[in-house]
This record gives sequence, structure tokens and C-alpha cells, in this order.
Amino acid sequence: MVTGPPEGPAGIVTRLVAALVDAAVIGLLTVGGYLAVAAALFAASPLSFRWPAAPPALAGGISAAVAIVYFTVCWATIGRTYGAALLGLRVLGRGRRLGWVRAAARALFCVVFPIGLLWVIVSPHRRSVQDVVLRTKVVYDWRTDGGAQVSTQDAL
Amino acid sequence: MKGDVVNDEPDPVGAVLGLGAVALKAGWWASTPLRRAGWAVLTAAVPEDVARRAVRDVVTAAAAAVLDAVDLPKLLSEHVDLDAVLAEVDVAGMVSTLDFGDLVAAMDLPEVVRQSSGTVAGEAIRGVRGAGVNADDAVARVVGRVLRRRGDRPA
Repeated sequence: MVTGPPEGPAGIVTRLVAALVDAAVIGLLTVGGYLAVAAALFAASPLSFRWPAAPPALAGGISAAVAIVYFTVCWATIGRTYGAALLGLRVLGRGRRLGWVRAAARALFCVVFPIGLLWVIVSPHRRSVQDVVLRTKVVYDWRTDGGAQVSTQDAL
Repeated sequence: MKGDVVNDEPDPVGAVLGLGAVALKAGWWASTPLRRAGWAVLTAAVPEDVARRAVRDVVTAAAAAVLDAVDLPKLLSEHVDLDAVLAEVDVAGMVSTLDFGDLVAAMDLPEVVRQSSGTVAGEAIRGVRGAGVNADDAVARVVGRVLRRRGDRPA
């Protein structure tokens, strides 16, 4: 049993669950963007409105772009995505938050090669392929961004 | 002088009252052991809860009898002009003196909602995180056994 906030690199289960939560967030963002575009088209010409249809490749590309932007902004600004915040994880590079370039590179790498996460299982330091290549790590951090200890009153 | 004359006539009423007071005092003093013994017998014979119940029943019955005998609405309608009383009450004025903004601010509703919902959410999240960490360690132990590693969690 875990009695207090844990320390050290995070394992595969928490990271996988965080990734699934993030995938859901990205899906919601994409759907929200689609609905926003549809609403704009409807407002522009209500009579000739049709639901916009994109080819699968374009839809995939848009989703990937949304994911890259989402990961980059989250890692470079607060060091954690929504899924990571939920699971109490934080992405670090040399003990600090990632810079924009490294955050963008890691985001691109994660979106293009998501299976690299599975290297965490066998890595002695619980590092994914992205972590090894970009010298980053994901650690347990149950604190809020202000540095306060996570209490029972903290929503995230 | 007339005012200096002392009235030597006996006062029969005063004498009777004085004698009566002395007799009462003497009787009260003489009956002290008897009264104490009687009280001791009474408290020993009647349990306290029985006595309490008896008193309560008597009081309840008396109150019920009084309430049955008195028709309160009829009394009020006959003796009190409720319309006049209500007409004198300035409800609007009373309400206007209340500052609902201050009232709401004093209650700090957002804080109340945040605390009540945040507590539940915080506990749920701690549970999820703890379960995740345990699962991480379990996977690491299994993999460590398969790969014949030593130690549970990397530093």
C-alpha cells in the first residue's frame, strides 16, 4: 500500500492511464474544434450548410496536430498534461520543466511513435524511448503546481 | 402627654400569632427525624425513573387537560385583532434592512461548494493515484523477477 506521496520515476501503469486520459482529452478537443468550424460555416451561410467532411488522412492529421500542440503547451508551461495531473505525474528534463523546443520534439515523437512508451516496462529507470532519446523523465509528483502538498481538498 | 402613654393592654391577636409561630417551629423541629425517615423510605421504595415518569405523566396530563379546555384560536380571534397586528408589521421594511449581498458574502458559498466537492474529488484522485503507484510497483516486481533484477523501484 502507498502511505504517502511517492517519489521517483513513474511506472508503466500510471503513464499508460495518463496517456489514455490525454487521448480522451485530445478527442474532445478535436470534436470541439470540428463543432466550432461547423458552427462558423452555419453562421456564414445557413441555407447552404452541410456538415464539413474531411478525408480520413486529413482528419488524422488534424488530430495529430491537436495532440502535438496540446502536449507541447502542457509540458512547456506546467510540466504535465491533464492525464498526468490526474495521475500525479510530471515530465522533467534535467530536473526542470521542459523548454518549448524539447517539449515540441517530445510531443512529436510521442505522437509519431506512441509505442515507445512500452519501453518503460523493461527500462531499469522506467524511461520510454522518448525519454531515453530526449533525456527526459516522468516522475511521481502529487503536489499541485504551486508546490503545495496535495490534500484532500485539491481537485487535481 | 397622650403620646407617651404606653398601651399596656394585651394584644390577643399578636399573642395567638406568636404562640402559633412558636408551635410551628417546635413542631417542624420535632418532626425532623420523622420527615427524614419518611423521605428515605420514599426514595428507597420508589425508583427514580418511576418517580420521574409519574411526574412527567402528571404534567403531561395536566397540560393536555388545560389545552383541551382552552380553545386557543377562538380566544385569539375574540381578543386579538390579528389583522391590525399584521398591518403594523412592516415586512417590506424588515426585508429591505437585510443586505443579502453581505449575507451571501458571509456564507462564502463558493468556498463551501469547493470544499465539499473538492474533498470528495481529492479523495477519489488520491485513491486512483495510489492504485496506479501500486500497480506500477507490481508490474516492476514481476518484470524484475523475469529479468532477475534486484530492488523494487529505481531511485
